[in-house]
Amino acid sequence: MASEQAVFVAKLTKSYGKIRALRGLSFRIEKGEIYGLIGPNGAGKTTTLRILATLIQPDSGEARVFGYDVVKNANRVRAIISYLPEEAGAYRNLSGLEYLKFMASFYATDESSLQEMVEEGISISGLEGRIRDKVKTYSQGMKRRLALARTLMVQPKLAILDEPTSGLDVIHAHHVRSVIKRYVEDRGLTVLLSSHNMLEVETLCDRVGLLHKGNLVEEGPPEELKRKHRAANLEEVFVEVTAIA
Amino acid sequence: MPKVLAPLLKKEILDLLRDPKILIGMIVLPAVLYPVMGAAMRASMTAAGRAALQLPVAVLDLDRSFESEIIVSSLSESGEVITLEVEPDKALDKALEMEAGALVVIPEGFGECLRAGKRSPIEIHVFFESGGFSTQMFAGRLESAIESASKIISAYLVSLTSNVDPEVILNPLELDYSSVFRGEVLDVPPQALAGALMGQMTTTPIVAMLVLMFAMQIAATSVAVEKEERTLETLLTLPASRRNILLAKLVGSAFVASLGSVGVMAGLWYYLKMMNVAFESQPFEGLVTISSKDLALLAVALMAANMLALTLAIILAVFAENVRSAQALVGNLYILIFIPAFMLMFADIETLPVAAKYVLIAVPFTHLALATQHITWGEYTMYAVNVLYLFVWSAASMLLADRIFSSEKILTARIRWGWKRRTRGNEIK
Repeated sequence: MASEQAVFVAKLTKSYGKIRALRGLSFRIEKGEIYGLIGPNGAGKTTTLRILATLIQPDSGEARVFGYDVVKNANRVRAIISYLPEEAGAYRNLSGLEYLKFMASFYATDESSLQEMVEEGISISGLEGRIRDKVKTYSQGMKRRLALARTLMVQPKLAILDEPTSGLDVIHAHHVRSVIKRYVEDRGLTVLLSSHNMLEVETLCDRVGLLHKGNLVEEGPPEELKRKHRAANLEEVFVEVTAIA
Repeated sequence: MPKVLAPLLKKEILDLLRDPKILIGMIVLPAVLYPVMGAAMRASMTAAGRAALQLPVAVLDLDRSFESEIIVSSLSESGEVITLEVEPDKALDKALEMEAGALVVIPEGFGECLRAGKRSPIEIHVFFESGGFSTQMFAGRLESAIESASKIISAYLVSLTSNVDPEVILNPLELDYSSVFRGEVLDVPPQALAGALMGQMTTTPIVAMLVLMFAMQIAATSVAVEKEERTLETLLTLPASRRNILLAKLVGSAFVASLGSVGVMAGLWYYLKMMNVAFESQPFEGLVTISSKDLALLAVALMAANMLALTLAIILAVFAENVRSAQALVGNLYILIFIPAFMLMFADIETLPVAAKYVLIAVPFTHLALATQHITWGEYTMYAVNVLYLFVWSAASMLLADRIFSSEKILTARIRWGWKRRTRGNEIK
């Protein structure tokens, strides 16, 4: 059943063999929020994003996207989300334009909406001059921009972005952050992202959740967390919280 | 057709056909290879044939009788002849000096000996200056000329002693062969029909093997490349059911593989045509005379086997890390295709040892080879059983593939060489 709460996660667990990746994780994201998951390597960030993107299933607990259960209503969830994996590739033998058209065809209701999405994708990617070239001729940064453009152009209700600016230079990373911000403000998009870049999280996110060993150890708006822990920046909060945990 | 299937299918076909490894390595090269091989073989055999004709035969006729003239004349008809006028002990050196391919010495008294009712020897020395086709063809030409002369001399000798037509004495039986095939009496010598059938029963499994190999390699690539290029995660989160993604991969691979197969078959057909022209024979006549009904039945059997091969390849590719390991994994399945095809190409399954027979029957791809045999012999009930067995296997493997695609196994399962297994999930982020 559809809900105005964008993400609802309760007591989520997931193990890979003997390794427990998530140990009863719970958090919520309201519609229109940008929520950042931060944590050290192995904290369970990507596992959480993959569960919400319907790629893998939790062992127990509940995960809902706009009210739809990610296990029982996976197809409905896929229709309203768009997922950007950390290492997202694109079909190397298609052109950038063909790739965007291919992706748009799953969401567009007619030819004109498909064209609109593709135009939007070209604009987000900033690849106007190279959009007809094969993806295999693109640099890593160009591929990342294409993948991000693909994720946002379809205007999902929830964008799940795993390290969205990974592999981008300072200028393009800034461009990507401003695009995400604009999409949320203009189109009411909800964003769940993970990042190692504390500055990015601090400037972009309305709220952040600190993950450590598969549990949420701290959560709140960046400014509030800094005040609470008397820290100059999120990095210091992160270090203090994970050291205690 | 679901709305999402068309773009998925288009993407599969475009991405596969534009991959140089597939386009060049699996479609263009194999299609070109056979005609080039055929043309090269034909050119070399034509040259060898010309060389064999141009090579002279040196003849030392010490008898100069009517009978010896028959031999010289027969040799002259088959190619160039050099008549030697030297002492017998110098003949060999002279023939070598004149670069002849052989020396034929007809001894003195040759004709008289024959007329007295005795066999008479002649000496034939063949010089091996080089190996290859030209020497073989020259030897054949010499043997055929001598055999022809021998027949003429036989007829002549019979005519000297009897009033009966020499042909009656030499070939008293007038043979009138016919062949009964699938209940029909055919006015064809059994040897010719056996040759044609053998050609059909060996060529069809070879072509089928090629088709299946292509399909498996391409299907495995279509899955593994998604992992290698990191596109799989994105694909699996699109609003398209996993079943449609699987279906697009199956149909797309089958389409591209069929293009490759058509290219290879056209190339193979041209190659065989070249070889038939070169050998002046038609060993594959049976293939072109197959009825359209039987051809349709063959296509159904091939489709059933192809579905199974594609699905098995896709299942295996799920466990591979990249294209190379997927193709290596799929290569292990070839044994299930090759062994039954080769065994049944030359032996009847009923004549095999019991254990081998039942092992073979259990292997699904055996039933493709059996189906082609049953089509040839018109045993359509048995053919239906074979095809049904293939379809049951195909359906079961498709169900398994569907389950794997619907689970997280498609992302997490891995087999590494040495069969050490681990899950990608261990790399938690």
